[in-house]
Amino acid sequence: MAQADAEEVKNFLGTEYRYGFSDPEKFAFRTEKGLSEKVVRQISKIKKEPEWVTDMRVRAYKHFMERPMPKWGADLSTIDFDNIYYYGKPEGEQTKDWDKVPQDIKKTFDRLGIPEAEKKFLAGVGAQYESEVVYHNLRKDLEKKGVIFLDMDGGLREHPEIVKKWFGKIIPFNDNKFSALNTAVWSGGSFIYIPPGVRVDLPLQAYFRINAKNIGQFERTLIIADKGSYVHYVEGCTAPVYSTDSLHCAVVELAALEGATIRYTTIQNWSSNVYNLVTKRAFAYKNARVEWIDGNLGSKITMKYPGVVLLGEHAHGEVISVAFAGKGQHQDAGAKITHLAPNTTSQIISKSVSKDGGRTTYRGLLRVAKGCKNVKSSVVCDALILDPKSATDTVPYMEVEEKDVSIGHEASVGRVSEEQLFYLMSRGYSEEHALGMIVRGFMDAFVRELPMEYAVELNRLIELNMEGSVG
Amino acid sequence: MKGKSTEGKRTEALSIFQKLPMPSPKEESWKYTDVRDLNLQEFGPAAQKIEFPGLSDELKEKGVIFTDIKTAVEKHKELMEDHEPLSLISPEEDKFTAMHGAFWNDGVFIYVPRNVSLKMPLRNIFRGSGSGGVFSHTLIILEEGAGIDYIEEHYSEKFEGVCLRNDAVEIFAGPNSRITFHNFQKWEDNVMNFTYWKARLAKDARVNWILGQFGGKFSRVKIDSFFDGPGSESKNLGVFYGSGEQHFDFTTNVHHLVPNTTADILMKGVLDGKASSVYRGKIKIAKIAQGTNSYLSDHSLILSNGAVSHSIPSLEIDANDVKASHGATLGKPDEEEIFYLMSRGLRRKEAERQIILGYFSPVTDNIMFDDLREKFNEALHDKVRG
Repeated sequence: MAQADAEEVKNFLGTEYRYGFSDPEKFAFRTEKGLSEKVVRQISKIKKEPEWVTDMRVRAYKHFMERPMPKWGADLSTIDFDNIYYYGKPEGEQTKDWDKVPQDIKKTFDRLGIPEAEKKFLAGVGAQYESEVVYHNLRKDLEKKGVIFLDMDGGLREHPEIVKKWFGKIIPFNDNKFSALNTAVWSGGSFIYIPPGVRVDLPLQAYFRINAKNIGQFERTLIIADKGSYVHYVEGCTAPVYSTDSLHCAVVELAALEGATIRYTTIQNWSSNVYNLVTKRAFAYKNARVEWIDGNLGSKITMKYPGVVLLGEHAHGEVISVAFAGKGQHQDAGAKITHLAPNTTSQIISKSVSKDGGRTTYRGLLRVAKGCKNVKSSVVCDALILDPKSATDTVPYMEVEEKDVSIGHEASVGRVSEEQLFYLMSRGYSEEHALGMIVRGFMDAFVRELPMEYAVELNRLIELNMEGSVG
Repeated sequence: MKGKSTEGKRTEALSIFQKLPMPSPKEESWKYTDVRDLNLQEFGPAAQKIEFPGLSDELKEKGVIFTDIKTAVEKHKELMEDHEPLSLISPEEDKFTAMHGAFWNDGVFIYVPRNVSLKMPLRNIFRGSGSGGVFSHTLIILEEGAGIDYIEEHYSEKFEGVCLRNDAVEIFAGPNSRITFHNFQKWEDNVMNFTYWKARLAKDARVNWILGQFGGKFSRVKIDSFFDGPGSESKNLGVFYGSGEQHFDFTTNVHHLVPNTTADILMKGVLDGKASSVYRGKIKIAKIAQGTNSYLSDHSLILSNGAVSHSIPSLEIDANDVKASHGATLGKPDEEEIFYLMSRGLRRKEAERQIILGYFSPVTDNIMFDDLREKFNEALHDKVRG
């Protein structure tokens, strides 16, 4: 964005978390507080699911209860699993027409700018409010080409054969404690199928909004890009600021079949009372390409390590991750790349900024299995720490069982250099403004990968987060 | 543990040892090294010789002490007042450290008085001669302004069975003192090694570690450097070369606890045959440790398809006015370099050898003593020739 706009933006938006407003809580139905087998079965029953889904939910619930909390990573000891509603259905039915969305909810999405963005630059939009998708639409021409873009429940109803083939296959429910929780109580999310050779030029977007207090959102997303197809999926998420905590626990599975490309962009901007514990993994087949563009700005604690499993020759996996941790935040993010085929390549770029006592962690795994000749991979992690209260960690794992590889890893940590600041200030920028420019420059690798409108939005967010960094 | 008698410490370490379960690969620091099949009860005391060269009269007069640790505990109690064996290393670290705390029975004691700096290195040669357990403890105390180079060389004779080494090294580096600690091991494949080294650095102290690991069936070395005084510095330089079915497990942790300290870590390894390695390097910078400068770099050359390499370099940074970075590479020797040497008339095998020797030189060039550097190079040559 143009530098001159900085003041304007500040005046316009104020200094608060911009998405912290809330609407009255109106539920058509809500399960009782807390988690039990009864609640799990109830969710399945409301959704009239086939037996295999109910069974999987119950097995996952049991696994969740048995599995200990992870001993590594961010501090999750403060999550009160009993004080959360696991399913809440808002009023109204899913619709393709914004005018049919209940008034309050429509107002919320208007304020978030979703209908406007849809008109301008999106090929399809899904909007989830609490546990259910309230609005869903895909451009007619794409529908005609056979593109499927539904909420996950709709996908399960209308395309059970595709769902059954892939659901829980890329991320089994027992992958980790939180994938088990998601599998037990999932609701909403996106289901996307792109037919062979179809290129969806404009992004498909899903927007996830938590409105009520103490509610958990457990959306489930599955994207299948068939041979030679292309899709860019964008998700955004926000929530009101409450004094009690909410839980967001998603599972996202992607399959890029031979020659397909999936780009998955996330701009996570949950309010500072949301625990964000997400499992994301992609299978990349021969000649396929998967790119996770992952931006973590909000939430209280995020633990998220998007993964790519490279299954076929010449597949490519990429994770570009930025994290911004302010007061009371811990962004524990990273990437997991597993090379299971020869001639595969991967790249991880991670940039993080911590300030006001925030903590960022890069945690990564790069694995090359035996026999995967000619693998090339590069990992670069940079962290900026803006004040003495803040902190950062870097924990990359490299496991290599093959000799014909070329693996490089670099990480650096530092502060904003006095020289850079001095230079910009000598050019007439205020210190705050100069700092903002340096941080935006630092995150450029990420911002460049976003659709233009998102890049502008992200720059605004950085600007806001940077406010008060000086002095 | 301070204030307890030596026997009291032993009893306490023994009870910790008995209480702790065998480490399992579920524990982070044992993830890539599975010792569950090891029956520690099998290792009764084994024979080893430690060669002690005498000290010159001049050094004796200056008050330098270089003796075996049992003698030192009896004769030099007053020097150990704050620096008894196992006052830096806690037996609670893990099961093997506790085992060491309970059973250590010989080793080395070095004391260098204030402002005494030795020109020639002190050297011990450790020679294992039979199966069983060996528990050596090395305690080095450097007073303010003291300076030494220390070399430990490890060998084992050919014998039946397995020798389990479980050693510890503690270094107290006083203000403005200096030590370079050299380790060189070329065991037969009848040795399994668990070693823990720990140093505490006072103001402006310099502790350098040089590690050369070539032999043994298995070798685990963990090095912890604690920067307690501003201006202190440490270098960790290591080379290792695994072949056959050797497994190496190395850890270097630098703990920047006060402002303005510096660390530089460089590990270079080669893996051939079915050898495997895990290297962990952690840079930890405390909140008050502004002005820290810390760099870590680790490299593995993988020569064969059966070899496996794990690398986990990590940063834990709580201060902002610091420079900290790490770099890691894994891969095979550069084809272009090989091609270049072959174009100069070398055969492929020989070209690879030259590249491997050159690869280690950033470490071996730092060895100031010709005879020791030769030993490193010879060990590398032997390994390269297979």
